[in-house]
Amino acid sequence: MADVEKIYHNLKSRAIGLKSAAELLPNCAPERRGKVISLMRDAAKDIERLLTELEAGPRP
Amino acid sequence: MSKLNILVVEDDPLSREVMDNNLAGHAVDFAADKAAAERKLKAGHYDICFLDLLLGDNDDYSGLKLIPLAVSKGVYSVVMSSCDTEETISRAYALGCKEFYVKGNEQQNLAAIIARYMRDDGGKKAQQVFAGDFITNDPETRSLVSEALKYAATELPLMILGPSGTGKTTLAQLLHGHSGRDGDFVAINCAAYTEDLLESELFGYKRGSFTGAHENRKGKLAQADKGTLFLDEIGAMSQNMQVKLLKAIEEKSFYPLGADKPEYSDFRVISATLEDVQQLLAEGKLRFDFFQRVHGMTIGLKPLAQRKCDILPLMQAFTKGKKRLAFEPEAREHLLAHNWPGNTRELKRFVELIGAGTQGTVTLETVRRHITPAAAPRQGIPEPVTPAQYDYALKHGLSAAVDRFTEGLIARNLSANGGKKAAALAQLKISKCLLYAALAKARKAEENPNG
Repeated sequence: MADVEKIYHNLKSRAIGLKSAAELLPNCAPERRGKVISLMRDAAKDIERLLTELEAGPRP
Repeated sequence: MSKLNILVVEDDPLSREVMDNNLAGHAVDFAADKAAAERKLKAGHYDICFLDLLLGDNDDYSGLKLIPLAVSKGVYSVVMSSCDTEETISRAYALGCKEFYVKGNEQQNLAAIIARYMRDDGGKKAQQVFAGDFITNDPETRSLVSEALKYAATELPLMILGPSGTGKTTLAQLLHGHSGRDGDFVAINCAAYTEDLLESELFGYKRGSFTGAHENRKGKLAQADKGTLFLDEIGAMSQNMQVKLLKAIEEKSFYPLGADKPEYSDFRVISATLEDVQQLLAEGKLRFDFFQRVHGMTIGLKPLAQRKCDILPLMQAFTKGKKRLAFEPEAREHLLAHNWPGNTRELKRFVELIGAGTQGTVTLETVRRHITPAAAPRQGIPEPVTPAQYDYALKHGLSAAVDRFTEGLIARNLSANGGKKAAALAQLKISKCLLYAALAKARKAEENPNG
C-alpha cells in the first residue's frame, strides 16, 4: 500500500472510530465516559496530524 | 443469552473501547498486534474472533495473516476493517473468514453477528436439524435446507415448492424457529377460502363491517406481528387478493374490513405452492409483481419417491416414543420400491396403521395389504382421489367428504374468478341452490370452526 493510501486508510479508520464512539457516548456508563472522551480527543488529534501530512504530501 | 469467549484483534484504542462496550456481557479479550493475537489464539478457546486488517500505521495486512490460524483453531472469524477493497474482501473469504464488515455500524452489526452465531452455533446446529426437526439423509435436500437456514434470520421472503406431503409446512415452521423472530408462526391455506373469506381471514374485520361481524376480529396479518405469515397454496389466490396482499407486504400496513385507520404488522412472509410457479405466471394466475414480493429465496422439496433414503429414518421418527416396528427383509424392500404418492403424509398414515394393527415383525403380506399398487397415481392421469380426501372420507363418511370436495371446488372457482358467482354457475354447471348452500356452509364453518 502506498504512503498516501495508508494516510487515507488511517484517516478513514480514525474518523469511523470517532463516529462510533460519538454514537456510544450518550449510553456510556459514567465511569467509562471520561476514558472514551479522552480516547476521542486522541483520535481527533490523530486526524489533525493525518490531514497535515496529506496537505504536505503529493496529491494521489 | 449464554456468554461467548471473544477475541478482538484491534490496534486502535478507541475502536477497542467501542467493541468492548458493544460486546458487554461476553468474555472479551483484546490483542493490539499480530504477535499478541497469535499468542492468544494458540492458548485460548475462543468462539468468535473479530479481526482488524491493518494493525498499526505501517502494517502490511497482519489481520489477514491471522485468519488461517483462527480458522484452524475452530474460531468463527469475522473481519471488521475500514479497508474494504474487493481484492481484500476476496482474500479474507478465501482464507476462511466467515463474515466481512466495514467498521462504523458496530452496534447493529455486532448484535446481528452474535445472534446469528448463537442460533447456528457456527454451523453445527444446521446438521442437528436433519436428525430431528427436518429428517432427511438426501444430500440435495440437506444442501437446500442448509442454504435456506442461512436466510432464516433475514427479512427476505422465502418460497417453498413441492408436491403435497413433502414437508413444506414443517420446513416453514423450522425456518420460523431459526428466524429469531419473537412473534408467532401463523399459517393459512389460501385454497381453503373464497375470496371474501380469505380477505377477512387475512386482514381481519371490525364489528358491524358485514352481517355477522358481531365483534372485532384480528386477521392473520395482525396475528403474525413480529412473527411469520405462512401462505400455503398461494396459486389459489385471486388476482384481486394478490394486489391487496402485495400492498400489505410492501407497506407492512393494511386496513381490516370496515376499518378507517390502517393497522401495522411486522410480519415476514413464507409462501408455498404445489403448483408449477412458472406455469402459474405464464397463465396469468400469479401476478408477476406479487410473485416478486414473495419469492425471495426458492426452495424446491423433492417427492419421497426421489429421496428413498429418507423412508426408513422417517418411519423411525414417526414411531419415536411409540411402539417400534421391525420389518421382514422382503417387506422392507417392498416399502422402498413403493412410490409414496402422498409422500410423508402417506408414510405417516401407513406407520400408524401398521403400528395399530400388527404384532411382531411386519410381514410382506401386511405391507402389501396397506400399500397396494392402486395407491400410486397412474402415469399421466391425475389421481382422482388424494390420500387426504380418502382419509377424510374414512373419518367422516362419504357424504361429508363429497360435501367438502364440492365446497372446495366452488371456493377454488370463485377465487379464480374474482368471486363472480355467475362464472362459477356457468363453469361448474351447478344450480344456484347448490352454490348458495355451499357458501352458507362455508360461512357457518368459518364462524364456528370447532362445530
